[in-house]
Amino acid sequence: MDEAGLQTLLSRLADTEPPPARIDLAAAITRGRRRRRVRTGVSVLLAAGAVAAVVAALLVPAQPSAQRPDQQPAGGPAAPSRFNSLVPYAEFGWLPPGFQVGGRGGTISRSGPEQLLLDAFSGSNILQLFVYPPGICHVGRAEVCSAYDSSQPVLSRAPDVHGHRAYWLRTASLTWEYAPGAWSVLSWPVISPWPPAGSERAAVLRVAAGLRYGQTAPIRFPYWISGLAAQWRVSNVDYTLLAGRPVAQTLEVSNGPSGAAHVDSIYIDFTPAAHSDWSCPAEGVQHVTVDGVAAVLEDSPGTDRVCIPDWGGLRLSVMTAFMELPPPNPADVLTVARTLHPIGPDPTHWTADLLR
Amino acid sequence: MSGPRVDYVEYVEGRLASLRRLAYLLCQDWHGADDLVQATLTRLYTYWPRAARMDNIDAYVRTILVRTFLSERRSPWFRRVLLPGSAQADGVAIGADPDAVLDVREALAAIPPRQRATLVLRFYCDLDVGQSAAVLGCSAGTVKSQTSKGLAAMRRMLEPAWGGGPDRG
Repeated sequence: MDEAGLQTLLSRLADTEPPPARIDLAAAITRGRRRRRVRTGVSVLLAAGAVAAVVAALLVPAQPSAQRPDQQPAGGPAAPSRFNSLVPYAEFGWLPPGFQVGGRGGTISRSGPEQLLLDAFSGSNILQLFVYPPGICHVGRAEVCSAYDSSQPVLSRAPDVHGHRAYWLRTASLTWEYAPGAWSVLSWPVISPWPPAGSERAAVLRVAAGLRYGQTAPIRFPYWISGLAAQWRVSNVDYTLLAGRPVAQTLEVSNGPSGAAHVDSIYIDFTPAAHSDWSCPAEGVQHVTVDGVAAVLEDSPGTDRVCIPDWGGLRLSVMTAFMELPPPNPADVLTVARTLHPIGPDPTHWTADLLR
Repeated sequence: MSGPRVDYVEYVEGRLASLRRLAYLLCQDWHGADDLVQATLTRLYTYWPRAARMDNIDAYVRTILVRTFLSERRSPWFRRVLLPGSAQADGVAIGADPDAVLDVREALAAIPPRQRATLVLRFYCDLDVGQSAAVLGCSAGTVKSQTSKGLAAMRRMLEPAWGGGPDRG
């Protein structure tokens, strides 16, 4: 399937005949008007409290219980109730020949409190591993693995992985309970036949058995943060591996726990200033400074973003990601940007001590 | 009625069908899609004085809808179980070649929301990498990465049904 094929399929899916709409426009107006009133009030409060907020608490990961194992039940070591986003909990052990992890331009993994996503690739084939803390992914009576952000029908029982029950899933995946109540899902690039047989089957099971849990290597960053408005906490980190060590790609900070109904997030991206993989916008921007360094503030629809073209050899972007109350506010992205202390483009100097 | 309210209603009535289609691609069920559109329209009304002054309101509303989808996918009430065969639960007409449509729907449902939103923006809304990055609030590099992962996942899930073999690259 190529990109044009996917385009056709999506258009056909969108053209399916819908049922009558359940949209209540009057309710949207009523609730929207109420929010507008609340929003105005919140804006005034934010302006008054902004100075105090900047000097508030040191940045800490969103989940205070991160990486602290639960009380260990019978049946094997327990997994932490929530992962520490700054310390990827698991890593690949054995990979099939040709597959690799990380490297510049390679795969990007994602470390969050409720999900760790690891990627390995070989050409256009991508092998993905999802690791969940206890209570996120279940294999229930309906034989469905209901994961954090996807659910997959179970096909059949698979050989145990290190003595833990495992199942083949319909979407070319294997899931197993790596710790009591905690599941991993390995998504395999080769799909026919599935469940696999012969050497393919052996490879899937070997990757699963080779996973190394309980890792302690922290992600290294090309900047550090000296403080942040109290409402912003680390939530997810996109990272890759350089020389076998995790290095940050994108840092996500949020103003609420991941399970909350309304959460705004801010993404901090970087690239060496000498690279051209992305650049700061030049049009429709307001020119500002961050710690005396030239920057641009972008106020495109629904987005507040400050972009610093060259800050100590790094290009940095700080961007709001969601529109919730309080409303998008340039003061937020500028406040976050001013907490950053760039180290430079040389990874050997990067730090794991992000929060100071 | 006041001016802004008239404009809002006129705008929404003219765009409702397209907003529902976009929401449906993200949610894979019409009930969820309507919930998403409802939340989007509430938020749009909150920001309408700002939105009404924009040159491209459609892009603004699309941003609200996609970000609302991504945001609320993280809340507990949105963590629904897609039971086997539930792709047919809406009982809607799906036209010719229903298997193919259901296949792509199930495949979309099985990939992470952020990858799904990226694919929908790139290949349904026909946005380029930079435009998609602005909607998602991330860098162009992240969009490329999400697109690559999403395409690989879709290919993995759809190719048996479409007669293709595994791509060993």
